[in-house]
Amino acid sequence: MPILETQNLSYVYGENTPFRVQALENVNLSIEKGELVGIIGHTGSGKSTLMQHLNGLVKPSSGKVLLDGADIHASKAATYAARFRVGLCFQYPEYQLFESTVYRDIAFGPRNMGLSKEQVDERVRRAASYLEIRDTWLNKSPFDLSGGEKRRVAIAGVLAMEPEILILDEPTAGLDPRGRAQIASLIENYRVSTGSTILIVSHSMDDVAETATRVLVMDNGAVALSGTVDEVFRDAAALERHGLDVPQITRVFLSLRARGVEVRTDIYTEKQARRELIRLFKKRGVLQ
Amino acid sequence: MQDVILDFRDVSFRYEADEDETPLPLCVKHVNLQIEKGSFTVILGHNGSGKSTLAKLSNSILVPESGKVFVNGMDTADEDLSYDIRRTVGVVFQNPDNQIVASVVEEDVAFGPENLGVPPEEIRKRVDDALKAVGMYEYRGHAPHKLSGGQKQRVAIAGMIAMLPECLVLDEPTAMLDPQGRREVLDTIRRLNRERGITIVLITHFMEEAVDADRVLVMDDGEILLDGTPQAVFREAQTLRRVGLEIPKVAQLSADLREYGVPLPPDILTAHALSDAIYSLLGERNHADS
Amino acid sequence: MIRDITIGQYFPGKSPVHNLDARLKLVLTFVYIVSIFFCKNFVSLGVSLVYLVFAVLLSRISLKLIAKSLKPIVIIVLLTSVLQIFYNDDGTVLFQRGWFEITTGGLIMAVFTSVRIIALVLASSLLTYTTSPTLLTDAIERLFSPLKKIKINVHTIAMMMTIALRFIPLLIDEVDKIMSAQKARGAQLDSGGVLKRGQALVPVFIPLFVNAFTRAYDLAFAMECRCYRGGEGRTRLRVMKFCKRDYAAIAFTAVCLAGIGVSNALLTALI
Repeated sequence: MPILETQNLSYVYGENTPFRVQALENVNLSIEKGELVGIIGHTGSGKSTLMQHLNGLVKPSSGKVLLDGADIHASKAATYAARFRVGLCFQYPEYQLFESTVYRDIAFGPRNMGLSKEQVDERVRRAASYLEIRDTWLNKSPFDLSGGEKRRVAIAGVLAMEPEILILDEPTAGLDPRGRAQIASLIENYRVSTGSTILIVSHSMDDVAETATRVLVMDNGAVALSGTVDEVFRDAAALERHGLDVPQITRVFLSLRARGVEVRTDIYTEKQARRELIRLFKKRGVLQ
Repeated sequence: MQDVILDFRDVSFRYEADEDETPLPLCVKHVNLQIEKGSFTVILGHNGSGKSTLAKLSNSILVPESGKVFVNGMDTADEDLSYDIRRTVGVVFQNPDNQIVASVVEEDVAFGPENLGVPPEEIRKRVDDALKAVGMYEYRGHAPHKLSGGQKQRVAIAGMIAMLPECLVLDEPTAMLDPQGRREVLDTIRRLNRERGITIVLITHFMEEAVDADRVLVMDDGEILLDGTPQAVFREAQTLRRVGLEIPKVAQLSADLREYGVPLPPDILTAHALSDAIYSLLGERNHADS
Repeated sequence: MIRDITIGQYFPGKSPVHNLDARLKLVLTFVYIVSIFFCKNFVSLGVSLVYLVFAVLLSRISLKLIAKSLKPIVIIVLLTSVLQIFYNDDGTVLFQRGWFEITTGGLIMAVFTSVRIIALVLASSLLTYTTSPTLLTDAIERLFSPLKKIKINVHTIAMMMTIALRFIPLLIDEVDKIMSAQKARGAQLDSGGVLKRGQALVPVFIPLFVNAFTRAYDLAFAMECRCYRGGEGRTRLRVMKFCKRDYAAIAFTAVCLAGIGVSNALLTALI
């Protein structure tokens, strides 16, 4: 059974007004335990709205969100519990920091869960270690940290609830290359060592192409494409039609194909590209 | 020296520490840098490399601790010149929301010229022209908070253009934007450089934004580490990696293929260029075969 | 929802009302509001209503929006009506139970007061609907500029208003975002007593203030880069100059005021 599922999920803003917007339309998705799913779409494609449905922050206009097969809106208690089971980390999460120390900020979620002091302490330290937050930081004010450090503390604040499913909205947005690489590898380490299910919401395939087990491309409030990364890239031109940027590497192959060269276009990593080009050059006698 | 607009001479700078604390280290160290009029320069570096401080030093928002910065020969340390300097070098920051003052697009663009005491008819002309230059003229009556990130950033750029600057320094203007917004802003900057001859200094950490610049500088720890054409700079893959930067994937791929023995021309940086090169390689082969 | 509030919002347009000089509009609105309180009977109130209806029609603001602006004051109107009915015992008694009675006088006064309040709110809404916030602050700055003589920095106050107007929608969005983020960490923001709710808002307001300071700091830099140096030597995109339209509005208002005066003098006063 999928751990998280949506059934005909629809959401409408401003029903009965001239500003009516169908933000989501009949979204059906099912996510298995341990998957790393990329939810990709341009701004306004509905991906953020979808994300806020998955932990019950927003109630659907119609349709259901099922967590382990149970409707998260079945009761108030179930909705509240869903927030802890599906950890949601918003874009630029450092804006949510408010406590006097890093420790207290990370502890905010676990404390809201009503855990004992010892349990809270355990979780804070565990979350801190996943994000390589040093012990010496724990007593510092979060506002004294650098941008990338704040980001890690904010993510730890969500991880500390030890959610079964972790949803991250553009976790590397606005960081420099070093910060981006660091966050990406910390998340990957966390996934490997805990076996958690992770959803990463992003504007671009680049962020998830190398790690995701599956991607969903959102457009116009609906799932436009879905499948493994390879499957989705098989029609790379379709990605562009849905308002997404194709990685530069893929662009090389799309452009060659457009000129009539027989190459694959489902290529998005440097390694794949090297292999495909060498194959092409050998075949055409450029290389021995 | 006539064609140099920005001239940094042995510039060092440090931020002031809070009271009773040990002084902070220098964040810009003995930088010498001349930016030519009409050129397009990209400054790369990770956060904390001192590149943003360079932006604020360029229009006398900050004044060097030692050394001098000249804008068209005007010393930025001379307070009497600061308005002339700021009118010459416009600075655009990362977060467009925090640069827009007024609740209507055209009124915001007018803010700079109003401060300069430009007569109303002339302000009108400048505002319309600036909004057309960034492709936001149709939005002149809109409220900024209803615009997309890329549109807001273009309004911020128009606000500078309306002051008729010779040079624009942009401090990570695309860092907070989605791919669409990033493209809009970059296209706008390139057009301003090409069509109006405005000198551009673009500070960024997106390597792809540097590939078609005239000149690329890499900053690390307050110093200029590399300085040259994009081709020359991206040849230094190891140095770049050491300071936390990656060369564009296409450039890496081309370099790897050359190493493998594929007779590609050196210094390919863009997808377009690589596709061209591969196509002509295959073409030559076909030709030779027949 | 906070976003549904329309008071203070501006709806761009090109109607004669939009194009009136902002200073004049401000003064006329003020004069109009005062005049409502000088209406002493239904005829003079009627005259002032005709004036208002005419202005609304000229503005081409949709009646839906006009109605929307009245939504927040429904309770106030109802409350004052009830009070009028309660306290006024003039005229014939229509209904009586114990000490409570409804009289014709009470009903008339209830209607009279309600109409006044509605007219007052409509007039001020019309001002903000048809005048851009920047123009409005500009008008305030120019109208009050004589205060400079008594060392009040009118420019700074007007600039602060401009910036506040610009950042209010941003802060509203931000509150929304921070609330969602804290709810996602299990914060319960909408349950419990007053004290508990107050405490629950700490995780929302601290980040809000911290962000507001960052914004203020950034904005100060950006304004410096754009050569801001206070009101000294500043010019304006828009020149405020009276034209025919403005004189016509003044004349029309004068006629209306005369109408109110005459009705008050010739007819018996209700109050």
